[in-house]
Amino acid sequence: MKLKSKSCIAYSETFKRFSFVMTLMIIISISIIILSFGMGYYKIPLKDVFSVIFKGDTSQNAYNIIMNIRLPRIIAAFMIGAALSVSGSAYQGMFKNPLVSPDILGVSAGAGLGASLAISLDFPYYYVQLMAFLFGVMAVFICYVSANTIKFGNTVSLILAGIMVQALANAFTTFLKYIADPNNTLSEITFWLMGSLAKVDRESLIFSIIPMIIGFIILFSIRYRLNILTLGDDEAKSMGVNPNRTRIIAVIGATILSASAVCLGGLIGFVGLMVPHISRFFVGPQYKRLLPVTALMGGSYLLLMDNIARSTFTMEIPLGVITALIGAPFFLYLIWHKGEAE
Amino acid sequence: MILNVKNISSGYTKKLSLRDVSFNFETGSVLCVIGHNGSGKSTLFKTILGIVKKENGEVYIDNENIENWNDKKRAEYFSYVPQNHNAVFGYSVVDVVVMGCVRNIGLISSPSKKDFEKARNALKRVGISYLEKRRYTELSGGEKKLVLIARALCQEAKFMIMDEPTSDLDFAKSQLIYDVIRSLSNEGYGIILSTHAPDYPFLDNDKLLLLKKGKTVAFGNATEVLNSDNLQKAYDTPMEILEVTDSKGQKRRMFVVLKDNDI
Repeated sequence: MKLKSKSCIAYSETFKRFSFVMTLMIIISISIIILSFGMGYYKIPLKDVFSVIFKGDTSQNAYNIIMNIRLPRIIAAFMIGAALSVSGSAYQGMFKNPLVSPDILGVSAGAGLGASLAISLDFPYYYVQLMAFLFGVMAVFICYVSANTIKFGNTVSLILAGIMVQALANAFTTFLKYIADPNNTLSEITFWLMGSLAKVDRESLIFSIIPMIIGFIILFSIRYRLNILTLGDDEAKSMGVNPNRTRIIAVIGATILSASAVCLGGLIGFVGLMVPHISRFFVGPQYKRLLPVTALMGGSYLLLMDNIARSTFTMEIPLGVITALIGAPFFLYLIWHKGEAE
Repeated sequence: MILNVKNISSGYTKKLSLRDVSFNFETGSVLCVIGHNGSGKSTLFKTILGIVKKENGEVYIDNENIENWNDKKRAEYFSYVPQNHNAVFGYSVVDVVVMGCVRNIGLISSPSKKDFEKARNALKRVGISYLEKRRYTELSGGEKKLVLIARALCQEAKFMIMDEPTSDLDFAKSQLIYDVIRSLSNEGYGIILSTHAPDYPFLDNDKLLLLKKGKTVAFGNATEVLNSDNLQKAYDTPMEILEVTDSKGQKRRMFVVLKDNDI
């Protein structure tokens, strides 16, 4: 009897902690989103922001800026952050490796190559999306297969294979840039590869958000199976789960997410590595709780970074530069921490 | 429930690490697999579990060939306690145990309250209810092993396969695992385990399979098969069985390697 009451406490404790963190994240996300409307080169007071959003006040100059420029960009930043973080946490689970993310696995670089190729060939926007996805899947595939052949310690070989895939993709991308038309295509590819949300508009937003939502739905649906994949193939199989089939679904979901994030905002690094770690620290590794917290945290984080990118100086700083400045030291910290633990 | 393994051969590479091994085994007892390192113990287990593809032979459960069973169906009959479980993420103990129920949880669902109840019962069964809230990664070797046994229990399969369950444990912890194994077999589970422990406490109706380089040296009741001749054949080393009676009056058998004095 005593035991039973104890276990009930345990259950409610985890649940309480999760609902607390979740509520906090929702509040933080909403506040950052609202504050973001006012930030930028043209400062809009909070009072005007409220009157535009909630009262639909169309008379002011602010209306145009908020609805046509800032709204798409805020949605894009939030969705990209969420997509990269959620796919990062899924990759970490399915490869049972806490040091991977879309950029480290080479998925982002691969998707970037696919998209650059589509841009160079002057394909319509949805082909850019499709090519990014296909090349992203190809990158994960090459990365996973070669990591299994390298056999250099599980954690390290994936990272090494990722470096190789990235180098390969970057080489092709550089070649594409070299032969690209310097009057239009070249600048488009270059600017976009730096990672920036300055060119986000309604059309590109819609084309990327639909696949993102599909990716989110796939990963959220198989959230429990992601836990099983972290046990490794042998154990998953002995428990009645086909590891390869499950991993393929997970790879598709995560790659759709990271490829559409790349299509929308270019190469934005380290978000997918950092955010899952921080949210795991707060709510534990159970994916049912991890995924929603990671999505909100990743969204708020990238939105915050984008606000810094567009309002610190009169000229905009590329978003990828800022996330790398924060993310790279974090990665070092993780390696240092992991080495110490072993 | 009867498990029949007939002439199975398998291996990771072209050179087979398991050749023509057969045995039969019934639930409610313990089968102990003994052999030198690389004798094919783990390969045998992984072949039965369907993790390693077999080249030849058949495995039957109650005269039904399990060849074409999928992972889910196989998991209904066999659970697995791996030798090394390198957890990457710090799941809580009850979360690890409840994963044993996964075969009954749909692709897009999560464990229900009933599943958690099952997991708690499994923890209680192996006597570690107090660990429920702890992180798996922070546990000691013996505790981890018990958690994995609880997870296997949660799977509710009649045969439980344990790969060297006491390999990294001290005497007291090993005895704890042996006690759990014994009580599970009394409850009707069929336990298949491998061990290097020279003092493994065999009972009269325990089965023993001796392997050497992937081939069967001997199979049968432990009391008959466990003799110095068979051990010498299996390990290529002069060996002897010591029989002693401890101060509580229990007969103990253990095997030792014989050695010349002058070395």
